[in-house]
Amino acid sequence: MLNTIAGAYQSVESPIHSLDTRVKLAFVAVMSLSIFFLDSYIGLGIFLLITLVILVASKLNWKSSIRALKPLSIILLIMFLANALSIHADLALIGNFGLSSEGALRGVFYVLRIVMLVLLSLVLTSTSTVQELSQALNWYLSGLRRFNAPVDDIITTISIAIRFIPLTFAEFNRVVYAQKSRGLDFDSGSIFTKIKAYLPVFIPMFVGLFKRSYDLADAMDSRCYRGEGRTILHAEEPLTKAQGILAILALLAVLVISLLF
Amino acid sequence: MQHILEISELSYRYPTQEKRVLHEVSARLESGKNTLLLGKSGAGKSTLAYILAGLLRAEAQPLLDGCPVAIGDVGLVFQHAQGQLFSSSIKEELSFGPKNFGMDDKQALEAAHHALKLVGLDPERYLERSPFSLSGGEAKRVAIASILSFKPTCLIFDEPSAGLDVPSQMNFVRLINSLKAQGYIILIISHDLELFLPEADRVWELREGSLEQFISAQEFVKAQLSVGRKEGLPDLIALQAELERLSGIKAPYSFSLRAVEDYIDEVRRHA
Repeated sequence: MLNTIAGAYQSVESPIHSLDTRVKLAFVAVMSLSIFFLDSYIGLGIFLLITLVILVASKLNWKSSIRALKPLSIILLIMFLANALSIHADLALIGNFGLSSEGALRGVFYVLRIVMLVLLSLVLTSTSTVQELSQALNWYLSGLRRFNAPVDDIITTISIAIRFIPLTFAEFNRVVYAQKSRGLDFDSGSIFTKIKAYLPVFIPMFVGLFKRSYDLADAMDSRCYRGEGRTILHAEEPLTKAQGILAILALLAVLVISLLF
Repeated sequence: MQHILEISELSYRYPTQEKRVLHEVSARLESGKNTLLLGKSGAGKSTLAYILAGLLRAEAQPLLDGCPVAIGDVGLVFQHAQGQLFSSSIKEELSFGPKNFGMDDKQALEAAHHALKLVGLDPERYLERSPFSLSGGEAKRVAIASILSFKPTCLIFDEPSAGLDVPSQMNFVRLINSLKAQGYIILIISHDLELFLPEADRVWELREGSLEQFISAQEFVKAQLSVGRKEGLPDLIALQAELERLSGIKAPYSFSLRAVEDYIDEVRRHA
């Protein structure tokens, strides 16, 4: 049931899936940074349009994209309210305190920036396998070897961490189902009761994950991993000319839009 | 009392998938019967188990004695069941389910005692121990007891032999047979035909979302051999199939050693 987890790789044929992961990674990184340089609604609109086009082109399941936003909904709501509520309210609730239209618009602006960030990350992880992501990171970081940076250790650590993300979700889901079948109620009661209900989930989940990580460490030890030498994840394929040009154009366009608007 | 757990035309598709995992599956499980559910990895076995246990909602709900299944009617013992243990003592672990289903402390403790006895562990020795100090086989038994303690009507075991040594596997088979004799509805999901096929009263096989049902293990074996599928079948069955091929004498496809010896004698007489 791993493939039901939001953000997990979805095997679909789409133009975004066939794009080189190095291009996708660079695009998401630049887009994520550029989002924070935006200060007009026109720029935000253009970025939203780009995000939607990418989302549609990736042919991902819409429901899974919406589900990925669900855990963020409280943070997004707080972010919106922090901006929208003001003592100079247009719609007063208590005295002068209430909703300000200017603050609400600003709140929507900030919320949409975060939504775009999440959706772009979701597209990246849903259209690239863990192997492809690790390989792309390897490609970008390999230049740092010249400066004696422990690139291979960093890549190994990052690729193991990435590999553990879907496993952690799967372990979490498995224990939730196990405890639900023993009558544990996650849905009723106060917020504190609900948090307490997750204790029987987190304890076995972390025990399981630590056990798994010890097993992995033993398996790596038994294959003489000492954190030395070059980590070869896969034969690195050169970036095609067309994809390279496309990447440069897309990155330039994103930078120009974010600087102009 | 005889209980029946049934599903009718049950289909299921995960929200992120286009293809259905289960396609119009209809079947029934009865008290005192041991059903073995087979199927390749990803065939939908665990999904079917989750639906039967009321943990996943499908349009067609499973019915227990004619009423929709509620959480607690069906106990699901997960593949690595010991991975759901979290309490500081086995007593707390076994009382967890009963308390969630409304029992008071005294009733929960009695249920814990009873469940430990059912899985063949001495309550006096085990109740105060930490579940994290147990061996693999013991932890599995405690995990099963943690399900039995809230008294479900049906028990589903997902890959129960995974990680167990041979004596623990044999103990587990004895436990299953004892639970069957007590009237539990039992569904075992496993790839281990050598261990569970001889114990199965019914065999189900999930193939591409559809459920094929066999009224006995022998029927399943015959169906497999008729299409040339031998992989995974118990050695005893493979021996009978080979003797049948060489002698032309119809094999009983029995799991009883006595019946197989009689069959070998018959083949010798005709040789």
